[in-house]
Amino acid sequence: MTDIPGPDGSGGPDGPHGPHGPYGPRGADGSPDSPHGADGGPAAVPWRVRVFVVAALLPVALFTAACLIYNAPASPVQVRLARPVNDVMGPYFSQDWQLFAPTPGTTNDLLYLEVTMRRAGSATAVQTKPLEIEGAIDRTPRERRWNPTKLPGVVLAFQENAADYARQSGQIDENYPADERAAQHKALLKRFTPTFEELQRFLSVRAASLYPGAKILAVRATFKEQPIVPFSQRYESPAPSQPVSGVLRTSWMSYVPGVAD
Amino acid sequence: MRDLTRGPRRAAAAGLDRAIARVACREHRLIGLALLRIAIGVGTVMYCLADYGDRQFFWGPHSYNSPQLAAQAVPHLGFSLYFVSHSQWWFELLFHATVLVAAAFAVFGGRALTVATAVLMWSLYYRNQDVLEGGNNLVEILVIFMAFTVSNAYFAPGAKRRRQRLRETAGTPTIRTAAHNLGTYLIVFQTAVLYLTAGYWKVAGKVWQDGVAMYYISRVTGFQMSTAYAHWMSNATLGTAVCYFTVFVELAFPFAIVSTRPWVRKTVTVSVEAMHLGIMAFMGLVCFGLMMIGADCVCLRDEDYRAMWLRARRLADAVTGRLRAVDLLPSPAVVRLAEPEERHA
Repeated sequence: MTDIPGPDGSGGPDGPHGPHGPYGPRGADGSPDSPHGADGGPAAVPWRVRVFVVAALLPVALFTAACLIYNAPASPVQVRLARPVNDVMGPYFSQDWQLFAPTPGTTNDLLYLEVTMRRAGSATAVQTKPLEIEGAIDRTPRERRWNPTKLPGVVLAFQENAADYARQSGQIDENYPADERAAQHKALLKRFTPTFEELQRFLSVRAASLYPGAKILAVRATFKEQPIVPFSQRYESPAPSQPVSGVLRTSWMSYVPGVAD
Repeated sequence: MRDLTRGPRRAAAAGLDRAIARVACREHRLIGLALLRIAIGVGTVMYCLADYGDRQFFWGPHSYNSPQLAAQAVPHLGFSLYFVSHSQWWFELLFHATVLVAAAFAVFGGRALTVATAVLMWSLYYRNQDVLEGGNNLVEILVIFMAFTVSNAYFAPGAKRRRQRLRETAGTPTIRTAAHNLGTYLIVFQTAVLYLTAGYWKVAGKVWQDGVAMYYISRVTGFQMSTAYAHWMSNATLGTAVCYFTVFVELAFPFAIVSTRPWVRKTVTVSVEAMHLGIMAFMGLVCFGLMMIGADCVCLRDEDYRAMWLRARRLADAVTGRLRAVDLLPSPAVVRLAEPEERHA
C-alpha cells in the first residue's frame, strides 16, 4: 500500500523524477509546473480544454468570493451582500467555524427530568423529584475513548435550543407592548414546536429507562446552568460553590410510547 | 523575453494558454487527496460504528428525532434518502450501505464511490443534525469538491498503474486534469478559510487573549475526557501556551501553505495536525479530529511528502544502523562470562 518512492527516487513508482513532482519530470525552466510541448514551447491547449477551464473558473471564483464574505465578521458590506452570498452558499456550502470562539462556554449545562407516573400495582399517580440527567450522559463518551458515543451532542442541542427560546422569549417581553406579547409568544412557540416535540420523545425514552415497570404519564424538563469556577479562584480551598440558575422549564408533556431506546 | 513579432492579442492568448496548461497538464496533491479519502472513509465508518448499537435511537424510524421532525429541520434544497421511506428495512439498508460504501471509499476511492459516499453521508447527517461536529460540516463540503479529483492515485489497489497512466498523459492538457486541479484548489481554499476564520474569532475573544480559554474548555463536562487534561490546563503557563499556540497555528496556516519554503508549510501543517490529535485524545472529538487531519493533508504538496518520507527513511536507517552496531559489540557481561573459559583453555 505505501508505495512512496525510495530515497534515490528511482526505486519508487514515479521513476527517476521522484522528489520533483507526482509523476512528471521538471520543465525546461526547472519548474515542475511548467508544461512544455515537444518543441520546448507551451503545450498546445485544445479548444475544449480552453472553454472548460474558462467556464469552470467562473463558479470557482464565485465560490471563493462568496466563501470569504460568508465567513467574514459582520460589516456593512457583508450585510449588503448577505442575500446573494447565502444563495451561493446554502445549503450545501453553509458553514460555521467559530470553534470554541470567541468565548468558549464558561458554564456547565444541567438538565433536570421530572416524571409523573404510576408504580406497578398502584393506582396512585406520583411525581418524582427533579433528577439531573445530563451529568451521566456527558460521562458516557469515556466508556469508549477511541470512538466515543455522540449522545452528549443530543443534550447539547437541546440546551442550545432552550437557551435560544428563553432569550427570544425575554426579548419579546422587553421589546413588545403588552397587548402584542401573547401573539408573539404564540408565534415563537410555534417555531420551536418541533424542538419541544423532539425533547418530549427524548425525555419519554429516558424516563422509561429510569423507571422500568412504571406507567409513565408525563414528563417535564428544567434547563439550568452552573458557572465553571473562575480561573482566578481555581486553587481556592474549599472550592467556591457556584450558583445554579434556571434557564427554562417546560410545561408537563405527555409520555410518548414506542420511541426506540 | 517578450516576442515582438507577435501582436498583443496573440501574446495574451499565448499567456492564457500557458495559464490553462499549468492547470490542465498535471494533477497536483495526489498524496494529500489520497490521505483525505482515507480520513473521510474511516471517519464515516467510525461515525456510524460509534453508536451502532444505538442506531435506532439516533437515526431509526422510531428515533427520538422522528423522521417527520428531522425533515422539518432540513434546509431548502437539502435532501436525505432516509426520508424516502420510514420503514425499518429501508433504514437498515441505508445505514449499512453507508458503512460499506464508506469503507470501500477508504480502500478504493474513485469518482463513483466519492459520489456514493457523499450522497449517503449527506443523508445520514441530515437525518439527525443534533449529533454533528465541525468535522462533519467540513467534510460535507470537501466531498463535493473531491468528486472532481483523482483521490486514488496513492494508497489504493491499482494506484501504481493509475499513476503510470497519469504519467503517460502528463504534459497534455485535459479537462479531467483541469477539473482535478480546480477541485483540489477549492479543498485547500476551504480548509484555509476554516483556519483563518477560527483563528480570527479566537484572537478577537478576550478569554483567548487572556490565555484562559483552554482552562474553561477543559472543564466543560460534555468534552471532558480526562481529568489530567483539566488539571494541566489549570497551570497558567501551560494553559496560556496552549491557547496562544492554537491561535498562532490557526492564523498562520493559510499563509504557511502558500509559502515557497517547504519547512514553513510542513512545520505549520504538522503543528495543526498535532493540535487535532490533542483534541481527539483529550476532548473525545475523534471523528472531528480525523476529518480535520485529512483536510490538512491536502494542504501539503506531493514533494513535501516525498521529502518527509526520505527524511523518515534516513532516520529509520540511522537508528537501525546504530542498533545493529550495538548488537555486534559484545556486552561486558558476555566478556566476563567468556574470561574463565578462555583462561581454562
